[in-house]
Amino acid sequence: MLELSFWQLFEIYVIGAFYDLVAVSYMILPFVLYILLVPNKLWSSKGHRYVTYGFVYVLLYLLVFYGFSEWFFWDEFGVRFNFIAVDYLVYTTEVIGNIRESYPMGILLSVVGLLAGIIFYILLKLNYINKILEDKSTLKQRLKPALFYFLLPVLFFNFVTQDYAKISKNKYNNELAKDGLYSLFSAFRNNTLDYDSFYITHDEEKVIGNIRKIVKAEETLIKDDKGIFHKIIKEGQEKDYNVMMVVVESLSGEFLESLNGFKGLTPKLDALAKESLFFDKFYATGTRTIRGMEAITLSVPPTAGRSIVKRPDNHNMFSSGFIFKNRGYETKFIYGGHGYFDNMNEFFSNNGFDIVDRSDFSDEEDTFHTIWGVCDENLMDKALSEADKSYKAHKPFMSFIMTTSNHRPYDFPDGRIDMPSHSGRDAAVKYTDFAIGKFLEDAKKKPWFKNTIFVIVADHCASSSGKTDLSIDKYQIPLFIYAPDLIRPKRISKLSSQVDIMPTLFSLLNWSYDSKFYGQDILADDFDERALVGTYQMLGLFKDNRLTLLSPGKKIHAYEPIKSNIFDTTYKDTSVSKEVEDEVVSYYQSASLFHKKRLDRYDAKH
Amino acid sequence: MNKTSYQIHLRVIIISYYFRILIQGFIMHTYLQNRFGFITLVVSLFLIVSAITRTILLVQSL
Repeated sequence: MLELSFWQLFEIYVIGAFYDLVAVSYMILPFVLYILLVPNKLWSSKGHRYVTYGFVYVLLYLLVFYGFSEWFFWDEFGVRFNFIAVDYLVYTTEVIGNIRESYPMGILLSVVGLLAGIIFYILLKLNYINKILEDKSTLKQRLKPALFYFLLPVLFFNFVTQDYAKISKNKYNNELAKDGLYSLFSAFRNNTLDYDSFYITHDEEKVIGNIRKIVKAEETLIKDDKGIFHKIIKEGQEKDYNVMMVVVESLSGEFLESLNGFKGLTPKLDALAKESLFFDKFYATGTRTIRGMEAITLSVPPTAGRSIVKRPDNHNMFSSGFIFKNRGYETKFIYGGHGYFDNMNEFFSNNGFDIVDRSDFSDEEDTFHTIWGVCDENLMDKALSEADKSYKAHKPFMSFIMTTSNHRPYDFPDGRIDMPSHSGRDAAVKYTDFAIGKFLEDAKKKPWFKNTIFVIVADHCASSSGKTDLSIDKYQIPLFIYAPDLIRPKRISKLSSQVDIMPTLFSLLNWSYDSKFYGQDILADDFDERALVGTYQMLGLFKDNRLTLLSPGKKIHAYEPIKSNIFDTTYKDTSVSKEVEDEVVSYYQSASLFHKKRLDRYDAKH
Repeated sequence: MNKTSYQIHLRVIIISYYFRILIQGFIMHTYLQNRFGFITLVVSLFLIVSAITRTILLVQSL
């Protein structure tokens, strides 16, 4: 919620107007150039007048459309245009398809057209455009004001950052003091962030020493390794159980009654919580699907900038896919959408997984879909048939199944649950819950069921906006590990992270292996409780009831939750001890360093 | 007028004045008759649309 004192309101509008001015100073550059260069004869001609009328109408249309877009983006994400909007501009097919399915576009575009028409009519009535077109100034006279308009964006580019909008500790206030268009271009410019330039750094040797201690790599470090490459040693027989991991789109902890969230949205999962290893203090590393994928498959902290899934040079990472594959598993990334979205196919296919995406679904297998992909029932049926294939080939299998139904437009097949399709997020959550329940029931009939571990986890929460720059309750997600014939149910209340999933799973399989993972076995007695959380700029460590955040500008802040539940957290500022600073810097500086030096790669010899 | 409605009233006044300044600025620009009047038109309209959007988002976040 917004915190609105008179002074804050004043700041929101004044600083907001400043950012509006900065944004429009960039926007007007082509117009200034045109106005400067067009000769008077053409400027005053009849043809030019009609072209100008048309142009002004189009401009008004775009302006009003921009206002509406900001409103819808805010409604979805609670922030001004950001990183996500940049990605949305790249994946136009999915995004335009999603918008068409989510909103009554015909009505909306007509309203925009009508509003633009009303403003255009007022301008014509004022005779404003005609007066401008009567101008007879010389090129020399026009040069002075043109130079002024050219100089403005140069000044703004060099001296203005988003920092001036930090007027409050309340994130909503800060976002309102920004301009959407400026934020969009700022996100373009800051898409990647070099750790060493923007964040606190410590001595490299010290950082490497610390991180080895933190991830317990010291004693079993592989000789001459410059990073954290170490041996995990287990006694006893190794198991080759199958693994089916369902990564659920936007399944926030708050949707589950078993996590003290909303009641009645996830009856199947709430029942499953009692039959599984159920982790109730579990956190996503980020706010995007590809962040979740990065954390789960690579077991690394969320480094600054975009997820490794989307970066160039992300082949042959130290991926859990390779570890499974080298043990004879059939590893598949199974996705109901087109896996080129967000570079997923490129990442998975070069990191130990085979791809099964929407192009592999036959017409019979695709009974219902949205622009994001086939419905969750279809996806899970496909996962079952892929598992059958591996079983027939006498191969153990590991499936990474990514769902899509809990995504706007929230459409799903009718008659499955007691809520209608296209009626919002809650209904989509309930449908996904239904689909998972059906999937497990169907799996129970399979000959491979008794030998299979099911992992169900979210990629990230449904909403990431909160009062602070990074609100910890917006990262809490559920994790289930279910294998009724293999693993005894238990509620695990250890603070843990998505990066811990694979090490925990490998421990349940009793595997000895060489590891570059940051994650740890949550079930181990000496597990050090903590969660690693990040946005594309803020890098956080949540530990001992304290959230410590690194941010660009080499800043560090710590917050202590004083009131917290699954829906909301209230914080107070607190100091950062040397020990905590060492730990948080060690996590993120080392992850960035290892990636830069390619120490996070998989060597086929492993 | 009780305290809450008084405070709401004051906030509405602040926002109204902001819009008044913008609109007055816009009307003033209509007397600029050279080519750069087009730029002031674009700037004014952008500021007004942004301010309306900001107000909608603000009300939505209350």
